[in-house]
Amino acid sequence: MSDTRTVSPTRQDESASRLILQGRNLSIQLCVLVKTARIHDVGNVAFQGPLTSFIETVAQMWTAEGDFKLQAVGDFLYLNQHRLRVDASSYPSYQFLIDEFRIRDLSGFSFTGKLTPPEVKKFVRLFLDVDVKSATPYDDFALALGKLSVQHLVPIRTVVPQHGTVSVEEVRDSRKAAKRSFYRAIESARTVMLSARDHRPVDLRKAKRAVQSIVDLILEEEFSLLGLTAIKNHDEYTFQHCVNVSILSIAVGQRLGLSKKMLGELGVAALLHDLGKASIPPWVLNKPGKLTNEEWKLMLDHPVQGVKMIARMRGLNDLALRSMIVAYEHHINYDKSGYPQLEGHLDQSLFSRIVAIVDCFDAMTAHRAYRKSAFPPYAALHQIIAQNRDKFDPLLLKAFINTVGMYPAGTRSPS
Amino acid sequence: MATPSVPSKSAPAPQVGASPGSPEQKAERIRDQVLALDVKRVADWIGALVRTIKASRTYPANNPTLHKFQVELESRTWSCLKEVGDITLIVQQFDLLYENYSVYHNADRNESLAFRFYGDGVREITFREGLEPHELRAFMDVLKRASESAQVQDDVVTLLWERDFRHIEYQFIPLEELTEESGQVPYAGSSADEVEGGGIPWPSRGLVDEEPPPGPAGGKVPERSDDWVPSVEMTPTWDASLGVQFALSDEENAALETAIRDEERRALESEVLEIVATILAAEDTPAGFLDSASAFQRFIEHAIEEGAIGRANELLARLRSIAAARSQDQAEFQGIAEQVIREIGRPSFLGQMAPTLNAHSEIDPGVMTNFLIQLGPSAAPAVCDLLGQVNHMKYRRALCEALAVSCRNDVEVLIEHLGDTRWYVIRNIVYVLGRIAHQGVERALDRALHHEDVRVRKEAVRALGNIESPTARAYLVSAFRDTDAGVRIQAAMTLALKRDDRAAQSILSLIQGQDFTRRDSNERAAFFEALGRCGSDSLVPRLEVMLTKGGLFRSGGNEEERLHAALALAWLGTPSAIGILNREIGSKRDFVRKAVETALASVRSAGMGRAEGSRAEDQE
Repeated sequence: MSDTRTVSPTRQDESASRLILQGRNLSIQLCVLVKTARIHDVGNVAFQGPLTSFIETVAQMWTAEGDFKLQAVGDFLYLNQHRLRVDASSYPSYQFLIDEFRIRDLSGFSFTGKLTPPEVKKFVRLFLDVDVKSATPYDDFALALGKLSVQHLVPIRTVVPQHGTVSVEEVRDSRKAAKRSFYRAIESARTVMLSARDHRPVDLRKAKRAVQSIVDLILEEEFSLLGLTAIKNHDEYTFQHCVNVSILSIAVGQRLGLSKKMLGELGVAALLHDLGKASIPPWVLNKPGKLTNEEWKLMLDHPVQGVKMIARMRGLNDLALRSMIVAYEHHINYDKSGYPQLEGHLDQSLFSRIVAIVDCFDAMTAHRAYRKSAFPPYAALHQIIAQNRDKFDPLLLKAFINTVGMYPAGTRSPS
Repeated sequence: MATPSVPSKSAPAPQVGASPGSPEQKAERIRDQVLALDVKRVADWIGALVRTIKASRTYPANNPTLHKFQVELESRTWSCLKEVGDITLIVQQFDLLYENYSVYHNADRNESLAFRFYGDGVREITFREGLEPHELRAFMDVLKRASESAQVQDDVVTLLWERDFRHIEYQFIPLEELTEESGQVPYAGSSADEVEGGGIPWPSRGLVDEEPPPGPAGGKVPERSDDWVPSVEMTPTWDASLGVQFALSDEENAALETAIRDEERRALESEVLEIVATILAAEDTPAGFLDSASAFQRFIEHAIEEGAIGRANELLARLRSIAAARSQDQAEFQGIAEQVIREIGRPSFLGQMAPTLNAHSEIDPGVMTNFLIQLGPSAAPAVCDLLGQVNHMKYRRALCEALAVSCRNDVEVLIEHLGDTRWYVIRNIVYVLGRIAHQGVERALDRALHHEDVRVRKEAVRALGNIESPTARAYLVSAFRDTDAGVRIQAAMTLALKRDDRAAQSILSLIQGQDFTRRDSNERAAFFEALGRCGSDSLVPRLEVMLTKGGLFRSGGNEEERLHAALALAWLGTPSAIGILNREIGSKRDFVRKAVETALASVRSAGMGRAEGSRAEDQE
């Protein structure tokens, strides 16, 4: 039955957004359900909460949309024809479902009605019991669902890939690893910044692990990750910017021949370079208009705040010390024209000089509320070289250009 | 990586002597026997590893016993790798499996090597043939540091990564999955509004940027509020005429290499300290000053943790001097600095530094005393705690010296610690109370005077001797009745140091008491000596009678008493006392003459041996 109603574009957008939001919730809840069932029996009280949420979400969606499908296509999940947009907190759940579907030869499921608790319990049990080493995991699963009368969750088989897809798979694996590290890094940047802001104990282990995997990936093959830095998501700007600066700094460091340990320290220091911004209210950071003197004072103080925040963390090892130096110096500028301008400070460290260049480049290429449009990457480079070169170490500037190229990732082809 | 679900088995028993069967069965048996030997070798090697880890926690780095463990581990490692080849261990919660056999099991979460790996997400670890000595040492260091991870932001995985081992490989799961395994499901609570803003797709050529959020109405480009301010309008196209050469020349590459070497050698801590000091000196609000001073505090605490007490001392002085300079325009800064310094002396921090002090014998005790004095009276409870934990005597003495200064005006904390259960702590506290010699602590010292340990009682006697008050004297006299002769003698000698008639009178009263004669000869001699040391000429006639009692051929009394009287006169040393001794040294009565000679010799030798005696006592 086709819908013959006329829907205005705005209402259509609203409807799609709502559906995407519900799809996100559904996917995360499904992920939680499966993971919980791996730990506890489906009869366990721990399973009850996720079960109820999942059934309620399906009921709401089915009432609003009728039958709908949740499917994995490539690296993404789709709800009907809408791609579920990935962010740092949903990424692990989406990836989990995509992987679980894939090993069962499943593309996803059709939801053909409201679900009951026994039905979902049977479904989850069967889903986990599928022998993924079997030659026909999809058939086994579908047959078992039929036998146990699970009617409203209908599996969809994966379309058999074409010949010659092995290399595509390999590329996808490398991209997947890059994306996984990227999202983990964003998540860790978020955790660190929010913990520091709220004066909660900061656990750097997650950030260190994320940076270490970035280093490993860059040492293996830098392009996957460098490509990701070209994506600008203004809602996660602060965290993503930190990760971008970390990735690009590591790439420059690798080009310079830094040791693996030094790359790790550079990566974490770069990740924390703007930690002091956690002390600035978001409305100041994202203020579209001109800043007042007081607001500027806050902005100019973020390097000092960064030092204080890192000093509060446990352990004053080399990593923390380097991070403090970078947090303090990354706006001082090579010609010392920047800030903070406190007496008696010596030259910028090598790490600070690297981070300063990368920080400027990434900030210029990002969409911000106070700027009509972002600099295209090549224009940002041009701007840095032509107008601001005295602010940066000339040798490192060259090394940076050698790393990202004259036309960095994200540069559009001339049309 | 998924958690390996390998069932653990106990080691296979070598089937020596099994009846021969088919060639396949034979081969199977031989394989089993070889495997059993390998499993045993690996288990033995892990045993050596665990023993060395334990030893490294117990002994300082240069300890010979630890060295023995390390040597044994090294030899076992090389022989095991040689015999077995690459060793791959599957990590389970409390077990390490080799070829599916458990080669290590310990279910104590605090001690278990398996749990140390497992808890941090390591699921498999492989030691390759060719493992080098420095790698083994580094691996041991990783395990040691990982166990201290509460202090540093590391775990086994991050530490192994940093070492970049060539012959050790490991597989681990991410921290998020680790949380899931422990039963907490992350992301379940993600709020719906987090979805706003959408996701990040994989970039592709001709990438389409997301639309920026709406700017302010009016059309004019607003000024940046972020930290990188473009000074010109953006250039729409690349200007190739810029002619910038981006290739690095050989000289430039060499300059960068030098910069990298400089970066590796950077004196990070002193540099950061300068930054923090600069920030501190520039603070203009009390809240900011407190914040920066707290950062400074971290460096002082770090120096203490490292055993660098001298550096901590300098930093403390620097913090005070910055506060003093700033207090000219901001009076409360001085108070804030003192507040921060008091915080360093908190028992939960300073009281825990005993292991550091025990591991560093090179610290100058004078510097340590000075540092603790700088921390002030608020550190006294922590310092008292340390007294019971520090092994080096020179440090205990330094702690006592610091307490004697810090608690000069407030002895309450010391008195509280007299209730400690450890005799040696009480003795030290009593010593400090004696150094302070406050009137009003006598009652507390009297408690120590009745302590079960004689060393504490002796120290209490010494401490009371330092206090000039009738109460202190009364307690000292009460110690004449102590059950231990040593304490009684100590009390007499201490009282004798007062060198006045009241002291002499107290001693004389005891000597004249009925039970004095029942006391040990040495003790009686000591009391006469004490009497001589503090008495005056008023005693001379009485002592003369005791010395010369009896006729020409008849001793007429107790020879020991005669000797003691001579001794007392000798110690008295006044002209009239010496006059009597000079006269009696020529006495025709042998027993009198001998008594005088013995007494004078005794005083002479005591004069020479006194210094050594007191030194030996201090060493006790």
